[in-house]
Amino acid sequence: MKVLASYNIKGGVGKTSTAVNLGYLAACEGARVLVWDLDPQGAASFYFRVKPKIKGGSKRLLRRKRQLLEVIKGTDYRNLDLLPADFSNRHLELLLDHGKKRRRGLRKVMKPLRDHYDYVLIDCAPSISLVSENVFDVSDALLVPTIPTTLSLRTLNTLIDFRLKHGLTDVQLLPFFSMVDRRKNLHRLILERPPKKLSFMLKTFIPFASEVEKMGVRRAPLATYAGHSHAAIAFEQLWTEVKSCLTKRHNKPPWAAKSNENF
Amino acid sequence: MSWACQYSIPSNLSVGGLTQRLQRLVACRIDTQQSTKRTFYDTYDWRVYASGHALEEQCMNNNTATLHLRSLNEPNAQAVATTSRNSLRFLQDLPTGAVRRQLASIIEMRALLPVASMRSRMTSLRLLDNNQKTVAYLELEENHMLNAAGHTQGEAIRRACLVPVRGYATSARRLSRLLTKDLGLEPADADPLIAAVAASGRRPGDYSSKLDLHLDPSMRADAASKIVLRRLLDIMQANEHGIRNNIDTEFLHEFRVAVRRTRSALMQLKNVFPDRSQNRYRRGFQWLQQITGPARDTDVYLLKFADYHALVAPPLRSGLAPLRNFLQQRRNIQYRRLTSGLDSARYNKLIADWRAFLDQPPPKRTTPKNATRPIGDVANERIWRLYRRAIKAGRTIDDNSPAQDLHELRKTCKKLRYMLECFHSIYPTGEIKKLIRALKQLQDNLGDFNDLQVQSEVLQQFSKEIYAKGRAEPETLMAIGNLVATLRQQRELERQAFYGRYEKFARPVVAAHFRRLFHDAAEGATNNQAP
Repeated sequence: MKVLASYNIKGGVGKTSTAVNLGYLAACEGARVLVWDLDPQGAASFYFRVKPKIKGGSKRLLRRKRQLLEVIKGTDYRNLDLLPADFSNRHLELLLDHGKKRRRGLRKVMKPLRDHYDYVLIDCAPSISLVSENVFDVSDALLVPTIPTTLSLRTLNTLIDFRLKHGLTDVQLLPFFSMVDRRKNLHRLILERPPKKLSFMLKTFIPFASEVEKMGVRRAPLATYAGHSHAAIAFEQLWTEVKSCLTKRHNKPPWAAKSNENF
Repeated sequence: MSWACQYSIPSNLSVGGLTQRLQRLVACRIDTQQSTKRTFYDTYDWRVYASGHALEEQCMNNNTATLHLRSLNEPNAQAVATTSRNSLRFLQDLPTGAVRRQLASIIEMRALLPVASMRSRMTSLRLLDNNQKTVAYLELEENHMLNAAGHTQGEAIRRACLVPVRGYATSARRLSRLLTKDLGLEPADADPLIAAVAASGRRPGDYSSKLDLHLDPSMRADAASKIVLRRLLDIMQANEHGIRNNIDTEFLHEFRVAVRRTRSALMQLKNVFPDRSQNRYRRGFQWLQQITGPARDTDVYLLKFADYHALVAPPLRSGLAPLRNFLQQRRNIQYRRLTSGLDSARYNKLIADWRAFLDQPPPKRTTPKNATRPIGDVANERIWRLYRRAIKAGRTIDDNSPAQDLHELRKTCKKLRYMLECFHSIYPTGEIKKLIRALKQLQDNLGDFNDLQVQSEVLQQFSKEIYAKGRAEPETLMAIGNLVATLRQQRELERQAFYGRYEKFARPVVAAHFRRLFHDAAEGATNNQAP
């Protein structure tokens, strides 16, 4: 089972659409996929038309009074399941913060999923907290959608430093540009000449497209209603690239080298 | 699950009518409507069915097909894969994924063959909630069974299949109640596979290589032996077409097992049949085993090739490719020879005469002294004697014994195993199984030792042949050398493991079991006869 987290410290960068669309593409290939909506806002749950509610709340889940498998909901698509959001996810930080192994709380909870799914995609809430550290602990890779703007790159830099500083090098970092608007000079410039420190950014970028925004109206993955759009094709390419990165895991990650470049 | 998944639709209700009535009662939407040809696949010996599954290929209009592997008890527990049409044969032809993963341990090396097919008009309905989210699926099918010639047979069978969505059990229960109470559907339990197979004139599980006979220990030995031998002949003949058409390697294997069991029974059941017939058929089946041997050997090398590949040091692995080609060519030649052997007059006469001999009712008066004795006594004597021979031979084996001694012990164990299997039904149920389990562990060890011994010699011989043909690159010779060295190491490990396995087989509990079943019973029988 591979765990991929769609994560960014910033909000509104396309985390949910990444988790939902990549999850859908993986399921179409026949893999058994779970999308875990860890964001209390419940956007992924909304996209899949599932009520953002877990019976007993997240507390019972984390205390393992309730099995994770019991609260999973099937989506409208074959092989694709959802662990819905719950408003109590906003207290997740407090729930995890007890005992010695507070950074490994999620790992225990996720253990039973191993035999049931090939991929788990976690849609994280924007922040950098104990929850994030738990997510880093369970994930094989972090998918980091990044808008090509100065502030976004600065945030990405913070994440890279945080990861190195806390010795979280087990988790692969897969940042990619998202919501790219080629009409904007800055976007074009950053895309053509990304900072040296970010040479390991994925090649694929997701364009800014109204079709992606319409996911909120359609409440369905992009490929189900606009399969031939640029954005849908970009997501397919992204998924292919992510898969190839996951298999190349043994090689030394290029971002392991520290760079002092500032943004 | 408190509700059924499968329903049969009454004959007065059409699929369209049912859909309309359902749409009036609940929020549902027609998802897809399509006509497909559905073909069920299984191995020749029904391994998929025996494991409690049905494997179905649904052909779409374009050249693609979907494969559905579902559990017969829980039809909703199914794995699906997409493949190209009519491309199904072996496990390696399947796309990687859940279907292949599950089938791997079920079918192993066997080929998948179409066993039945039907034409279906399938309508898929989605039951929706307030958010237009699918909370259950209802698959409606109108199936026209096809017979072996591909023509429609009998009336259409209409079924409904409720597929719940995870986490929405309440909705599925509600829909189930609606179907049975309001729409008058009857729960159905049999999978469409059963009806489709029946239409094609077959029955699931109609072939098995097991000797599932019911013999009475008081039967005359010659009559009982003929029943066993006739069953073995049936198995041989059932596997013949598979060998000729080169479907998979198991046909030849099962054919040969039946030949060996026949030979073993002819050898062990002394003085049961007249000497002349016994000698003639013994020679005949010896010949049959000889002509089938080389083809089976190459099959084994090719089946083991993946293991060989893994045994060779990684940098040398690419050197094994010429060996594979060599084996493949050799296999083709051996199979051609084998087929001509099966077409020969000698083979046909042997089988026809053997069948005629077995069909003859046992004569009232006959000279062989064991012919009219109860089969129970004859089998007891032979099995007890073989067991003692195996124990004695095993005891003498030490580190200095030649490989030949181990080979002889292996043959004795095989004979013992065949006798136990052939006549298991005259003993209390389950008793023989325990003994076979104990014997099997020793046999596996002896078998592996012998195989490794033979394989390392033969592979060396092959490397010489490849070299003589001028097709050998240094890498190939090095790879084979490396493989042979590894096989020899493994052989030594097996040899070391022998003592432990033998001790286990010769332990007093097993000995007491053998004695109670075959020796004490035999003595009791002789004592009863004595006065």
